[in-house]
Amino acid sequence: MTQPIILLVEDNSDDELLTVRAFKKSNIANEVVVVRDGIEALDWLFGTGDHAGRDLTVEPQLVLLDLKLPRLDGLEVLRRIRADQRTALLPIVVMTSSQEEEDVIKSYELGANSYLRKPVDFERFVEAAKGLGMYWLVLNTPAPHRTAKSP
Amino acid sequence: MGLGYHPPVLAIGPRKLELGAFGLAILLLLLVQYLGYRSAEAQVETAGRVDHTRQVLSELDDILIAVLDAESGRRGFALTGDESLLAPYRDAHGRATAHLETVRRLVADNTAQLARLAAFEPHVMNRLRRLEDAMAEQRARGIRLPAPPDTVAGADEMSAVRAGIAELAAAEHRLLAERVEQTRKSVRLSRDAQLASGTLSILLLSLVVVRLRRAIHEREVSEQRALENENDLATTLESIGDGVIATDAEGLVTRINPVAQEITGWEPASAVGKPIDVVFHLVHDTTGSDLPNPVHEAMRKKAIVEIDDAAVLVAKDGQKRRVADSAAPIRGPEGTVRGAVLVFHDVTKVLEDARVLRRTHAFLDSILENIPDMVFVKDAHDLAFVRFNRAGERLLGMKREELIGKTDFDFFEPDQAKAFVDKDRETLRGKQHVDIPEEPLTTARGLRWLHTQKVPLLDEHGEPEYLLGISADITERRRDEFILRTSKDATEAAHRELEAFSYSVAHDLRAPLRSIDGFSQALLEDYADKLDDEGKDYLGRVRKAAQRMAELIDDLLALARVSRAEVARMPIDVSSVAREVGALAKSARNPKAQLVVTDGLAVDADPRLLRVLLENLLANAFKFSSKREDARVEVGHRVDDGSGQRVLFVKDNGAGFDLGAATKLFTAFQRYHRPNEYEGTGIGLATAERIVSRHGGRIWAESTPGGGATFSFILETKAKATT
Repeated sequence: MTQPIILLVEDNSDDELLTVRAFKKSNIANEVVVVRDGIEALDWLFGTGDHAGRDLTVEPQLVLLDLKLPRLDGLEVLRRIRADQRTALLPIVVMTSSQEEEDVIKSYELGANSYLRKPVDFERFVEAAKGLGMYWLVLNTPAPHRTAKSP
Repeated sequence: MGLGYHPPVLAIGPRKLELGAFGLAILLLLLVQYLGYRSAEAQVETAGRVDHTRQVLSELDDILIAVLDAESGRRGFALTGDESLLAPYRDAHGRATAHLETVRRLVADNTAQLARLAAFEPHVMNRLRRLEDAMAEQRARGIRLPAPPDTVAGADEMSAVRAGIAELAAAEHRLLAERVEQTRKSVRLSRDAQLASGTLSILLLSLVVVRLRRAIHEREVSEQRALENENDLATTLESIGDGVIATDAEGLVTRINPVAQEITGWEPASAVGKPIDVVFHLVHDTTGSDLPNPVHEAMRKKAIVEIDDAAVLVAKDGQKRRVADSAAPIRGPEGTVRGAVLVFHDVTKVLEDARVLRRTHAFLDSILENIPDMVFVKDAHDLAFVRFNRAGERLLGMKREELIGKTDFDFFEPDQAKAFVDKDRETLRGKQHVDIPEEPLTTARGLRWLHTQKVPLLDEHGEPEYLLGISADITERRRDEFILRTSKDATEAAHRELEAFSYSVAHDLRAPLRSIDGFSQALLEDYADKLDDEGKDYLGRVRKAAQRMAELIDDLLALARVSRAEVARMPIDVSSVAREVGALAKSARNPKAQLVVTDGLAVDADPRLLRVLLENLLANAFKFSSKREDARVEVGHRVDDGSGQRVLFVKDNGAGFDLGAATKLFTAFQRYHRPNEYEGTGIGLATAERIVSRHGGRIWAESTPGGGATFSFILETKAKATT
């Protein structure tokens, strides 16, 4: 079994870089798969489109979902992920700049497991990442894989 | 029933009969009288006759006596030769003669008697003569004879005389008896006739009486009826609601009913017998001059005459009233005028009512005309206009005279007219008010929009009689509404844009900031050995700036949110919120500080906004007391001295500030302290103030430099009792 994957859905390359850096600094060594927008995220998760043929047994242990995404809005992605039986139980942490209450509520309503506001201060960001990793990758027990197991 | 009363007419025939019978009876009575008179006459005559006879007889007796006396005298003389005895003889002689004359006179009417007398008389005379002769001879001879020589002859004479007398007497008796018998017969006849006549007369009279009695009875009955009619009439007059005055042919009042009394002010006692002009005194409305009473004209013309329109009645007390109605002549059976009757009523009220009605009409008309909306009325059957007000004329640009009698199709475009008429029909059919919020109307002034209401006007049977329409010209309003809507839409669009902007701001502005900070830090970390202190310092500043900007953005967003948010009041346990928020702020700013929160703090407020308020105030409190070792932040309540209201406060024992210098304490971005003293965006208090004012409350600060600060606020407009 490979290292659990973190799926990072983030359109901003800076943020992507910083996030990965933050994980590194937190000693989170998981592979981070980055997709740039909502459609790609879904494509990757379901093995469609650009990611057709992907081995779907490889499931992320954690999905970090930004809300402000091009092509398909983050909330919609969340909804679709939750709508599909294969991915309904994946831990999804919404990570976004927005502190808008509506976003928070909507996210939880649509089935997000957690809501994290991206701090500007990088150090705090690193701390957040650490905590995040600690919790979701180490402490938390994820749901069992739903797709066919690899031999 | 007219006021002329005709009694039931008796048949003429019987009256003639009665008269005839009565006349006849009278005649018979006269006859009776006559016969009676005749009878009496006869009886008188008989009595006279008897008397006559008696007289005759008496005279005859006297003649005899005279003759006897004469004889007696002769004898005496003869005996005595006494001369004195001659006198009686002479006397007797005279008497006899006289009596003879008398008898002659008496029997003059009877030739038979006269004849007998004529035969008798000589006997008497002869006797007397013989006596005379005898005496004369005696005298002459002077002898006294013992016996008269003429005795035999004398005796014969005497017998003849006596016989003559007896004859006369007998005849007289016979005559008398005849007469008496005649009289008796006549009397008997008369008596019978009288009886007959009398009886017949009585019969006739009885007949007459019977008939008269019947006539009287009938008359009584009709009189009774007349009386009843009279009573009915009187009652009718009493009850009639109009005034009634009747006059005779001279125009003198004969009766006056109660209503007339009331109107004219005259009592019957004083009115009856007075001239009508006095009791019903009419004057001209404007000139005041006396007007002739229509009664006179009515009697003259023998026709009904109306009271002059301009006539005003002056009552007995001088009060003036307007009256109306008419005078009519009362005609007798032959068409003669027996009098007149004046019927009237007080129209003062009627005229007044009419005047009030006119005024009311004028008033309602005035209202109708002055209503700023178009008001029209159509006939329910042909939907032709019957009424239009001024506003309607203005709206359509047409005079109502052009419209009345015509329909919508005569003026408006066919499709518009059809629309109107359809709605008209709908209203009338449903017998219900129909509201047409918008309908177009093309007028001379262009297209107008109307808000029309159509109301069916029903008659007393509940069937539609008219259609009432009220149209308000809403063209302007519609335009305004349109403008308002578009501006509202624009505003809303702007709002949404603003919201979207705010939303984007949160993400899009912060992301670059994150990059700036993050990569600066990365630089610091990864290229620490390649940077000198200055370089590191610069990067540090870069980071700080980015972070600050993020703070500003957050605070602005918060402020915007507060301004936009709805205030949903509910009871909040302020103590627990304060503890929670305080704990966060404490750990972020000054973990060593002491936080004291009074229990039981409560307020009616919006929970989210209150949280933000406390966040801001507590953040400040911890921030500005962070430099103190014994930093203490207190959240509590007290009663405001001035208003007596309960006040919540957040108090710190930090740096404080000079109140006098802090004029713009609650203004956004206005910072009191220098940035190097205490960091902050200067929005916190502005946000706090915005929250408080959105609750309709008040916030103020008390502070002294170095003496800490107390921020007090009231979130309610009215004080609430502490529970």
